[in-house]
Amino acid sequence: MPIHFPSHYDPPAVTVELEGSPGIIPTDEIQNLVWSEWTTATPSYRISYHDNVMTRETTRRFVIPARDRLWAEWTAVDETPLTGWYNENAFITGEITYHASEFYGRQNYTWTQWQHTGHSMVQQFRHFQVEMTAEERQAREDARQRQREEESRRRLAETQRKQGAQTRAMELLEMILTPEEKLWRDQHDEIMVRGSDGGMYVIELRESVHGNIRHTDEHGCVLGRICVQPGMYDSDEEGSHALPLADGWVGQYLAIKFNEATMKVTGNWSSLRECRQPDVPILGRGARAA
Amino acid sequence: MTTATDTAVNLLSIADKTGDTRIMWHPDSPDEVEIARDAFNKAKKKGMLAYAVDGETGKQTGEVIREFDPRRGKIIMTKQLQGG
Repeated sequence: MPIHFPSHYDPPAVTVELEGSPGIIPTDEIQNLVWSEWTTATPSYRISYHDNVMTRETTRRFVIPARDRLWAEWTAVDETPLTGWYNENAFITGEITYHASEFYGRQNYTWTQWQHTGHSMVQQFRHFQVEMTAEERQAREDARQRQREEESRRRLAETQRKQGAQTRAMELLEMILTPEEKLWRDQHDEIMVRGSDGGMYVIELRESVHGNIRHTDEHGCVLGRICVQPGMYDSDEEGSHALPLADGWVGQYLAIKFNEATMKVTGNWSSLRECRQPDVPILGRGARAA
Repeated sequence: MTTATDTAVNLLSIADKTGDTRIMWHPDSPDEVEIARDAFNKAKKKGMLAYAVDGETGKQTGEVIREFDPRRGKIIMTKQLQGG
């Protein structure tokens, strides 16, 4: 199939025929040729062309670095000089210059060479995208809507499960707190606990089980902060899950109250300090753990 | 709930994603004791920590336990402590 190159200069365009037998390469081989040109470092074929302007046919042979030509055609960012130049009166063997911006239908042209079906293939694709009956569109929208509803149901169920789990875990915490601890909790939103070794701790009931325990003294001075909690993740056949926060508070409470020594060596301490207000009155009765 | 009355049952609470799983047993019922023991042992195999809490909430005592004791009023199992 002849490849048509518009001329850069005034003379009419020239038609270049790829060498082959009998001087024309069959169209279904062009793709392989182009790919070969693209992937190999050097051109693998020579092109002979006929200069239709001249009164006599002149055959010239020159080598086009097809990979550069192909890329220039495809991107057409700016003028890309290729090796070789064409003069209206004579052609200098070995060099010809093309300006990619002047190639007709740059990308389409290149794509045409590559595909052999080119425009018709593009048109077919566009046709496929647009052609959808009303029923098909409705069915597609219905499927999307069902998917959105299912996602919403799943998300709501997960949130409700988590909320239900927190409520249930809070019930357990309520079962094990002493009346005095409950009173302090209601007033300060934290639990003050006497440890099994005599230490005093405050569990802050905020949205975390990390770094929420203060070690205090009888004056209420903060002697340090400890980050320790039971494992908060579990896994089963449904996957990995987080335990509700209140489970963490239950674990912290029990650890302080019945396992203080282990709790102290397991946790990570920070903000350690000594009491600087030894003359401050001791905390009131309501703050003392049973 | 604790073993304070003749109708009292004991409680095993195992922390999980639902909050906790609760199993109750009467110390005089071998079947119920066995069910609770089985659940306790399974949780221990998973590495959970068990606390036995006795007495009314006004006067609590408790300790870490390693074996199931059907006489304990309340057994609460949590995951192992971790430094954060």
